[in-house]
Amino acid sequence: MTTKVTLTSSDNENFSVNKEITKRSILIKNMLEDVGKSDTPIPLPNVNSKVLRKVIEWCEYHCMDPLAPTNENTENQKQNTDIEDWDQKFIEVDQETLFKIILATNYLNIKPLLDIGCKTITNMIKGKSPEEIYKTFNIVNNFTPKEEAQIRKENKWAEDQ
Amino acid sequence: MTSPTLPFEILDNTFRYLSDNIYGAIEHHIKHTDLFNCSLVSRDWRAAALPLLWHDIKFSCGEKTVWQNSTPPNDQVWPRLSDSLVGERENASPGHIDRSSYLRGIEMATNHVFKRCVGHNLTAVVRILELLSPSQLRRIEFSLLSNFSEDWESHIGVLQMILLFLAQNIEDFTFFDKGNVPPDFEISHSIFPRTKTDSILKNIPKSLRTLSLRAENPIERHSDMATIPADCEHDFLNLTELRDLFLFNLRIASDQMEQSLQTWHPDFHTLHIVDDFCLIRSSLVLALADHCRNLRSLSLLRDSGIVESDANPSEYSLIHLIDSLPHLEALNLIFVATLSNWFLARCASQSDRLQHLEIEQYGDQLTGEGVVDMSGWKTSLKSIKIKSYRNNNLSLKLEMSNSFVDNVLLECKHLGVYAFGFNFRSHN
Repeated sequence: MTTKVTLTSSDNENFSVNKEITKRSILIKNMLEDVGKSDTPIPLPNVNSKVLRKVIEWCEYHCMDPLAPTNENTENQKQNTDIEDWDQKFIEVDQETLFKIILATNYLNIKPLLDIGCKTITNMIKGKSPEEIYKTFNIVNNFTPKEEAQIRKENKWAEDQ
Repeated sequence: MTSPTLPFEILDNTFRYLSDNIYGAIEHHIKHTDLFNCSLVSRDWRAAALPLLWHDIKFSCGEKTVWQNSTPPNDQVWPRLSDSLVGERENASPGHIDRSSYLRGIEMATNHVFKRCVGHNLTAVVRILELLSPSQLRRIEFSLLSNFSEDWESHIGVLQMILLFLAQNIEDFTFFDKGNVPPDFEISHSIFPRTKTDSILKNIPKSLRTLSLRAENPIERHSDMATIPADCEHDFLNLTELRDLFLFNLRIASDQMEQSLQTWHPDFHTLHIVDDFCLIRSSLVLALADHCRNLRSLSLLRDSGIVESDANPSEYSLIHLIDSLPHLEALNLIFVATLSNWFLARCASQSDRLQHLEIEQYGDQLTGEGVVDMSGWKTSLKSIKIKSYRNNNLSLKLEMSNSFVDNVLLECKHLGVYAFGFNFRSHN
């Protein structure tokens, strides 16, 4: 018999999920190990129901994947920004949701999904000028004029002379 | 609608996909790469991009004509870059982290065939190095080709400075002696280890996890110049943190190597040797089998022109190797042994982790005839290439047994690339 765990989102919606699937999240896995046997719902105050539903959907689809190695060697993961078809479809969401999924997976510690989110942002950055990046991500340029002048000065060595 | 702000660790994770190995700090700035553009977006983005933008620097000098797929010469910007970095340090307010403090990897590629390196530019590199702390660097890669002895002296001097004063935490060191190219572009003669390079061997950092020492072509085979000097003979390869070692055309005494490998890290896993002298021999193979139990990848290569060598490892030693190294995933034996079906049978039945096997040799005993038990290979083998030549003649190619080939293709379900005798195939 599969054991269920209840997760409670920030807007107080309960999700009953297979225990094994929730272990994709290192945060929840560690919590379950600390608590031992308990029926108490696990509160996730940083994740709303819309985002939590998406994250659970991803974990269910990937429940058979081998668990990600825990080593911190990030050198080898560089460069390849290919995303598998299912994940690509999964991550085609509006930008606000994308950012919230990334923040949630960072909080829940689900490295493979976090990587998919980061790769998606990387692919949105590629080939864009700083101005185009502001527009794409609605970022406010918060450099002061003094800082901007400093950056121009720091980068001057690389300009044609 | 404004999206939520991404914290530093997520921006860092995102930007890592933009910081490839092709570009160093100089190219990022000159070419205005994506990572460079990210550093201009906002304070948060700049804070996350700078450590990656300045993680590696690739100094490259020489003539454009000899450049192939590497970083084009960028020495014209070195003086301006050093002024900029030195100026930043001098004018820094308290708590300011300057760009040079992010540097972890230094590459220096020199290719001077027609004109000497400009001394003033090299001084600029030294000024940059003087900004670094003794413990910040992790990786050094030097490759040196020049027809001018002054260039050798000055560049080896820079490398010496790094090894002596900035190498406390170096994990990865590559030195590639490309020698000099005569103006008529005949064969290049490497001069490694020449007098000046002794100092490199003496000062190889003990913290190394990966070491690659490479000479393009050995000088006259019996010249004393191509031997490691006696005073550093005993311990320059005694490296207790070492995991990966690549030696190309470097004359090292085999018994020295056999002593040194006992000091390597228990997780030592990659050894790649190209050697036409007498380093690759039975005693080395036996020592590897006995002391490097976690070896994953072993490549032993010799030039096909060395037809007969007394130093060849025996078939017995290589069988002992197969039996002793349970984690071996890749094995390349190129013109270093004369193997028979005895070896093949043992390997096919025992090596259940082996993914890649390549053998090229002189001999007429490696046909696969009678090798039927594939219980080792069938679990992991992804590629296999076996080529033999009869009568020490590269034009007399040995055919392999059809039943052996059929059996391998039938049993090894993961096999993607194979060449038996002289038919190269690739699945997928």
